[in-house]
Amino acid sequence: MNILIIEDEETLRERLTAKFTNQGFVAKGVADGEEGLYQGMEYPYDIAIVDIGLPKLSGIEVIRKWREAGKALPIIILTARGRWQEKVEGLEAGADDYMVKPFETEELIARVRALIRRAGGWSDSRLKCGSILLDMSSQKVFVDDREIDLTAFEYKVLEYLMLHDGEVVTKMTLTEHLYDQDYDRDSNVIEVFVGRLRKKLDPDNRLKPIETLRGRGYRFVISRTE
Amino acid sequence: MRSLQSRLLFSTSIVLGFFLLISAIILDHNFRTNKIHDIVARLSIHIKELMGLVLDKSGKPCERKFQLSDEGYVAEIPPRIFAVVVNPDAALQSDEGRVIIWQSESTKVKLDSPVPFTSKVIDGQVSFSIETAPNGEKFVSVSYATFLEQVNDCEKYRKELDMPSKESGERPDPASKVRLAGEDNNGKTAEKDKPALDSMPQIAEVIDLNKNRDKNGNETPGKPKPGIKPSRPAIWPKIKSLGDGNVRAIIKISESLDRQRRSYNILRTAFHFDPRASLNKDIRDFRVLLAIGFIVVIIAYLALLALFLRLWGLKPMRRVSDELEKIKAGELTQLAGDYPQEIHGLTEGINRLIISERARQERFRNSLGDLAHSLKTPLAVLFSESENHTSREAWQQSVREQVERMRQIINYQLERAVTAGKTTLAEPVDVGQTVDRMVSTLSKVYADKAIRFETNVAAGTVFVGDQGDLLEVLGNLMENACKWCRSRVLVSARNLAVERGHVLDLTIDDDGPGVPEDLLEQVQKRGFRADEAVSGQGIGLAVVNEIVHAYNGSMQIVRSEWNGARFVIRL
Repeated sequence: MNILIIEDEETLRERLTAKFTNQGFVAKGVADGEEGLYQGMEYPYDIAIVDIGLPKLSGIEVIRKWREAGKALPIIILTARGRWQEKVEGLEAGADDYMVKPFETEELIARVRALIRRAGGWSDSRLKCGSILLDMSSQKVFVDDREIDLTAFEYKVLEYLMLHDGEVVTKMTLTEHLYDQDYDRDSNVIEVFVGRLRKKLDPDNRLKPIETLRGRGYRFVISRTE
Repeated sequence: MRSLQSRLLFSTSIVLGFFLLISAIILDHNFRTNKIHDIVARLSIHIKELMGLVLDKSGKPCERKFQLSDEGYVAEIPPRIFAVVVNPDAALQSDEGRVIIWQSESTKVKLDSPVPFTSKVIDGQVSFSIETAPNGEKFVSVSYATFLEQVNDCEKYRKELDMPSKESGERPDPASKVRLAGEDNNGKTAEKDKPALDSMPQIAEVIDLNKNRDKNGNETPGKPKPGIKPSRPAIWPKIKSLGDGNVRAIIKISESLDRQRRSYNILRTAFHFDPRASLNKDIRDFRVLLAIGFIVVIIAYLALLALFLRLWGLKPMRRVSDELEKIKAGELTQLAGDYPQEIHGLTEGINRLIISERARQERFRNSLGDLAHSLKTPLAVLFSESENHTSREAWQQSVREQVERMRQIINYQLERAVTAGKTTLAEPVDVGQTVDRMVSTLSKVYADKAIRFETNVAAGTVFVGDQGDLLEVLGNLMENACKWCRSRVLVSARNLAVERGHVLDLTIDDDGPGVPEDLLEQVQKRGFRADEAVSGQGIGLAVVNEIVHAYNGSMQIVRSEWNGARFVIRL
């Protein structure tokens, strides 16, 4: 999951970037509205955190422009004043949630997870497809109630595929969303990870959760059990 | 137009000027009409004189009056009767021109006055000339050019006039005739005409006209007999056939160029009287007088008005500014004077503004004091904790708690300070729209919870106050309801009919567990503040409470019909 953080206060921005990277996100921190607008327009972020009071271009303007350009990514606004007037304006401009400064980072991370999940059409933080269960809050994966030990990257691949279940996800998309922009993209790495993931989830080759579409990508095929 | 006085003066003088202009137009028109009537009266006297003799069919004299019509001065003349100037030279000298209306049917019409007679060209159409018959009698010969369609033969209309024999001795001297012709033809031809006098140029002119007719082969107009003594042509009222057998004589005094000049000349030669010049001069004089009079009236009016406005009319306005100065200086707290009805609203508004501004200042002062004061407690806790040798975890825990507490205090006090409060100058806020905004906002935030929002806002419900405050009240209470409800939130609003202003009655219901007793007690208590509130849950309610107090409203918490909490707010 890649996340865009637009926040002009340096300490907070760095702390958030570090915290989200720590949590397995690919986090990009930006200090002003114009740069933030550009980033959101040019790169496929999964979610954005936007401070309202930004230099050059206000957070509300940034959000409005993204929405006008048809960007559907979930957005959380950060507001310092906490007046409802500001929150309502931000949400009306197209934001999906708000946080009032100062806030607990844990709370923000939980909200971000919830929004990503909601954007994938899941209403619960436990994504369950057949016998496979992925718990986004604890970041654990179970198959038939047995916990599977996954590396952070394997977890990210599975999470992304399950959030976009039923859709064809190209290797390109996976690298874009799971790696840093500057990362040297080698799609073979993805193949390796998907192969390992298949083995761990389905050692007997009985469930066949991830389908390979030659030349197109992968698809998580087990349907949801809500 | 910076001062009120100049605005008043300007607007009243515009109105006055407008009415003066209208009356000037009316006066001018009346004056002009009267003048014209005057001139017509004078003209008609002249014309009557000028007409002298008018003979009817039976040869008896009758008068024809010229009347003003669209065409000019017109007289109706019975069929086959022609107008003749009897004595144009006399007319030149003494205003005693005469006209004979000569009836064509009768052979001889006697003139009653022994005056010399000269030939005439009437508007290039008819010519008269004096002829001497073989028996020595003189008669008038009439020639037609283009005139009278019913007349086929001009010869037929050569009629005799029985002229007194002594008339020949009284021929006018040629000099005056020349002068007449000269004036008639723009003065230029005067010199030219003089030597040609004996070669009968005017007769030749008539003959030319007749020749024209010959060429066209229509009629054969009679030629003046040779040997007739020519005389100078005079211009006379245009004679026009009406087609129905009537003939009309017209004096043009219209301004159309050529014709005007001719008729102008007639009138001048005939009467030594220029009605147009006289009329224009009179009108000009009258207008100058009128303009001067009106300017004097306007100046006098403005001066008097300015004086009265200064002394009396604008006095209350000056008193307002004087009193405002005193308020600024601290000598007065409010505008106290008994003001006229028109500015009563203004002074009342200023008074209310002063009161609400004072209240706001008071609130700022208080929240600043409260802020400083209430931060002391957590700081003291932190300070004492730092002195105790507690474990690292306990210290961290303590810092966390106190920082959170301080955060809440700051939020709350800031909120308290920015609450706009009751201002009478606020625009009414549409409550229904605000509730809808809040519902769509919160549905987004609480998307996971799938809350069923119901709204019951009477159409046209308004809140007179700051929109931010209303959003704050709605936001805090509705979010509270969203947080605690199982699935349903109901917002109802309506205006209570109260004599002065709108009172908003706002109810927010949820189907949650209801408000805990301890918090309930605290909230109901007057002066409940967030820094005294036990937990973070109270802060939103404390803010609402603060706003409600700022608007002199009330807040009640009861049980909703779904067994959850119901907040009843009156603002």
